[in-house]
Amino acid sequence: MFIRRPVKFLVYLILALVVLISLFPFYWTFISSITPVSKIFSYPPTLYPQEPTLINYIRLKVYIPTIFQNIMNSVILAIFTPIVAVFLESLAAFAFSKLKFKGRDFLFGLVISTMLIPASVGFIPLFIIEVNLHLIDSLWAVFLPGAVGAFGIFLFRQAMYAVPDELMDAGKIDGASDFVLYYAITMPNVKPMVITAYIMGFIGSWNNYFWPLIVLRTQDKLTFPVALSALQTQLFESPWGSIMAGAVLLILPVLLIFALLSRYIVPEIGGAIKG
Amino acid sequence: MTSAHSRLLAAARYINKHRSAYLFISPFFIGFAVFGLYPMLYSIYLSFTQYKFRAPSLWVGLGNYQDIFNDPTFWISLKNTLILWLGTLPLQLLLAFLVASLINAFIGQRWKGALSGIYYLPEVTNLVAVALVFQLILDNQYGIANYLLKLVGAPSVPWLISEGWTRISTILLITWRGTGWYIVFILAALQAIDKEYYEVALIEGANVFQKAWYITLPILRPILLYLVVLGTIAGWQIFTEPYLLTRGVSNVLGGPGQAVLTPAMLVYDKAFVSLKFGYAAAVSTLLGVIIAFFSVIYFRFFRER
Repeated sequence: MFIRRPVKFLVYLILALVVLISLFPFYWTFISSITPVSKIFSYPPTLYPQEPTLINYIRLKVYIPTIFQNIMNSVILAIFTPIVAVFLESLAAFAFSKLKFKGRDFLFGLVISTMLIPASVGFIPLFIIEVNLHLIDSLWAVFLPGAVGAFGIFLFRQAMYAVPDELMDAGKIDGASDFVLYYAITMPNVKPMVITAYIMGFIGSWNNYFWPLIVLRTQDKLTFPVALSALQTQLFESPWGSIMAGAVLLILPVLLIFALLSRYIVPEIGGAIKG
Repeated sequence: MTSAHSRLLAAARYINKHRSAYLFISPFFIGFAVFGLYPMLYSIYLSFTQYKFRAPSLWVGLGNYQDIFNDPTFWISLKNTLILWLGTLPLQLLLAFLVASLINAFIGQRWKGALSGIYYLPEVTNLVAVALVFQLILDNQYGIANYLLKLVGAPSVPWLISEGWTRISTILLITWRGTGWYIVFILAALQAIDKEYYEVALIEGANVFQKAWYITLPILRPILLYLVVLGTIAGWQIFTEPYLLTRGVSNVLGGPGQAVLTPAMLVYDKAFVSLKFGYAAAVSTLLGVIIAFFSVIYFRFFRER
């Protein structure tokens, strides 16, 4: 097919423009974080950093005294929540896809139908439940609801269907229990999905804002995003340099994961459609 | 042995025989029931009460709903969501479709993934960080956005100060973030289309637009439906973007003139600030009904065509 040169050039230009638009805010965040506060609001603003400095990062501890605990809270949640979530979801998905039992379709339908209902419907009762269980203001309050997600079951079930039944039969002949079938045979065959589910869970937990905002109260229990956004409502002038420094730290983990492991994230989303 | 007794026994034996299945799904289901299903049902019950702390709740029937309908703030929030939803969803779909089509047609296999990955990056980036930098960029006096406008001779824009522009800023934020997700989806779907269709079209002498209209779009229809449904469900629950974008800039919940106050923000405010759980539960139930309503319409509509 002949594609005329000017058309190709135009297309590349458009796509490059979109890349620029997509990446510009990241660039701006980074620059602002290393610009001293006196220069952030300088006029005219410049596209390159003036007098780069790390002082904003150091001052971050001043503005958010509990910053290390906050980051730690986010890290702990981000690492452990998806571990449990992936385990529970894949286990249930295994039962739904490979085992036959009464009520299987009904229960699965129940799970799926709740995906259509917005999550915000359940927030208030969830809050009340957690208050009654004295979970509020602890990491458990964020962890527990995060460990059960209907979407994961859906994905895992799709992936597990693809695992050939012959493998199951071979395992059964060798006398494997159902759990072994799950653990040793099915799971290794859906490893890409497992990794993807874990990474998405990690990112989701790290970025989680709304729920931790509601259930976490004391300063040192907050997760990092919540702690950072608290700087928005300071009575005196917001410390934008340090805010941007915090933003860089907030973005960094996901950026790294993305750069190194994007092949697990991006194609899988497309692959999920096929289901 | 009565027949009820023997049925119970049979059930117990069945469960025991398939115990691994039930065992496997139970941890998830227990969690799901406690943290997912029960809250949803309880929310509906709550909406008919006035929740009292450390005291039995007061049943008020439709009282909360009446209060909601009489509250002008609620209608404002509906209007805002309508604007935000209709402002973002078609825009995102259109842009995503265009970009995905361009990528599919002009970019080699190797770079497809990398490029769509870059476009997807805003979606996985922490919203707090993004909203903060948008506040900085769109600052009225010192933001780079207005500076660039001045450079090309355009007037500076009150991005986060005027009502209309606050809405536009929110739409920009949501679109900037969300389009990448749609791009990835649509691109994957485009790649799955059988090339033979296009070869036939080439022989028939179809041009680009005809190819898109007669081949691509019909095949893409179920995917697009799925995306529209998801986009609608998300659109009606928008909270974090307008909340973070206007926080610290405006003292009014929902930005200047409550321009971007959404029902979800209302739920948050009534529940966790005013502690009126019953009222907030009613709002969120209404929200759920609206969304379910749209989902049903979509499926009906697309099934008939």
